[in-house]
Amino acid sequence: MKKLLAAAAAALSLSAALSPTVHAQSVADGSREHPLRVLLIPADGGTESGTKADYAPVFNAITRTTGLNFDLKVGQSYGAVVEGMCNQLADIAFFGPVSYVQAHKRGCAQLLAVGVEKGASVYYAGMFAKANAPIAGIKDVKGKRVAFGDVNSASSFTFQVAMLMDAGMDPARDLSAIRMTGSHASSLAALVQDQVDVASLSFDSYEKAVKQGAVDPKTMKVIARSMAIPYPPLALNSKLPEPLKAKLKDAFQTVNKAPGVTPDMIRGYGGSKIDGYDTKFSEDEFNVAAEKLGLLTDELKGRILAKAAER
Amino acid sequence: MSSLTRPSSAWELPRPFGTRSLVVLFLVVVVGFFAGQRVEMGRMLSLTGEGVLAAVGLRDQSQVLSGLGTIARSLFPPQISERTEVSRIEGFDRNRLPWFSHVETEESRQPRLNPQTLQMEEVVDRREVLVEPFGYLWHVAVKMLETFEIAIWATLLAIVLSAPLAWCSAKNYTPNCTVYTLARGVVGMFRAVPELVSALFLVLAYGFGPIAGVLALALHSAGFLGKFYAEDIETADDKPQEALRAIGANKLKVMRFAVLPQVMPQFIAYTLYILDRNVRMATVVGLVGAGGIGQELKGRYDMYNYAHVGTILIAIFLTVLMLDRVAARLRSRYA
Repeated sequence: MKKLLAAAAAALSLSAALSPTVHAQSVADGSREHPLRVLLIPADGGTESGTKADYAPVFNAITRTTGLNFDLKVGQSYGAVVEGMCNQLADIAFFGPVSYVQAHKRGCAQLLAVGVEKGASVYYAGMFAKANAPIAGIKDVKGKRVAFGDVNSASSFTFQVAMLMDAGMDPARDLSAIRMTGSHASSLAALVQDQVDVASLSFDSYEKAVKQGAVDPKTMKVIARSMAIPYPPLALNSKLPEPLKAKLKDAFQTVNKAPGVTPDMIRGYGGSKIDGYDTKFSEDEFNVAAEKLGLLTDELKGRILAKAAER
Repeated sequence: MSSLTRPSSAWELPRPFGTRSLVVLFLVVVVGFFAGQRVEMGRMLSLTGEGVLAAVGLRDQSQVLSGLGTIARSLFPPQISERTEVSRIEGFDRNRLPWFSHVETEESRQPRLNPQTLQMEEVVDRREVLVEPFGYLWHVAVKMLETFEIAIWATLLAIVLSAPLAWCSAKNYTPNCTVYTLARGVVGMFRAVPELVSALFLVLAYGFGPIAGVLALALHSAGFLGKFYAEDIETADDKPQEALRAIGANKLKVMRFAVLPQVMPQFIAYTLYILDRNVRMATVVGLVGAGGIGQELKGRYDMYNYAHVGTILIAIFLTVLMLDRVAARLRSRYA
């Protein structure tokens, strides 16, 4: 693997050498020629066009009120969005709470706005099992086969692993098998097909699955619910000039009242309808995510991945 | 007469299997057995067997069959139309709808998992949607075109990149030993890095989108083409080349008039194969955000929109099938 990575890095540097002028970094200032680069991520999964459609009305409204221009791009993994922000490929990015903490710790990102839904900015991660399975609570997960999503995901990995640890378990030792499926949907699909006993995914993703008929809610039960997780935030690149940051924050605070915007156009996490954006949300609120993230050391993640590779 | 016939005991019969080949065969079987066990071949066979038995009605249940059955059932019927909530469309004008579309009122059921009671609830509301009967099909067609464009450009870049590499890594044309080793190394390295892995890194360097996809595919296929081109140049018949050299032609001219005419059919065949491969791989690099239809595919899968996934899979299948026909045509004409 190391060799492969080295080879990939070499290929990368070679391709970079072949085209030195292609990606000369230009300073984005929100003008028409240098729009602010926005990196979005389909949280819980979603398509490129769908994710753009969720956020385009919000950013268009901000363009109308402030005159700033935006270029919306959709990334594919949480890790890639963190790297994109830290490598100056983005000026604004949408993060999961855990990946936000990762980027914030590296000094790349600070809060721009957090979606507010019915007065609160929280969502939940859960662990699900078949309704007839002899698993009543988190304690019974011991010795079972468990599916998780992406290793950088807050609500399909981090908070479930933290719940297991809070219940006194070592996930890498006390579970009979671990499956890293890569997404909420695959995690649930593994449970539906009886490939695992317990699936880790967010409540939102589960609701989507029920809506699409991918799972019959009568055959499933929730065996554990996480604490309230702070809503995935929009974040600013720390390197942006301060006046621009202030201008953007002001614009997001009032975007739900901007002309030409209907309440249905304001979307947040996973494309769900939200009331508006809160730009005065304190960084401290993300401490719960930071705390849970702190529990998951690289050493533990490494053991979990090794366990997932076992048969 | 009799002096010409030999007794049967003196016949030399070639023996197809000697002791050596038997030992080698035995070793291959032993190694194969262990390797097969490590990748669970036995389990694969027994599960597949169960599936086949269940399919012909000799067994009640099979994990494989029920899994495949669920997938197949959820993929059909494929999604054709596109439905968009009217209230989410910016600047929606009721009097100027897009072609062939109409507005419908539908009842939407939004299931909600109550975080306090952990029970499912349902929120029902009525909303207006804009229905475009062939909207999704059109969307997939546009994405598929982008995928095809990525493959075309990757193939063009690969040809351009591999030409000098092939020249330098063909023993009889390379300028010197150092260049030869270097070129062989580069060609090998390009081939060793799979597209998905290099795309993973390239999206960070070039940003998410088709650039990373084109480059990832181009680098990998340049590795392939460089090797194949070089080997054909090396093994091309030397007589015409000698004749040209004898009358004082330089290396470039010998290549143009004595080598290329010989190897052109194979070159075309390789290039068409690479194009075919690039089209198939271009549908996948989207999984890591490098453009093309893969991103749509993964997104729809993660949103549980299996009918949409069905449409995309059919589109990919049709494209590959069509390309195969076109390539067969081209090959029979030029190769």
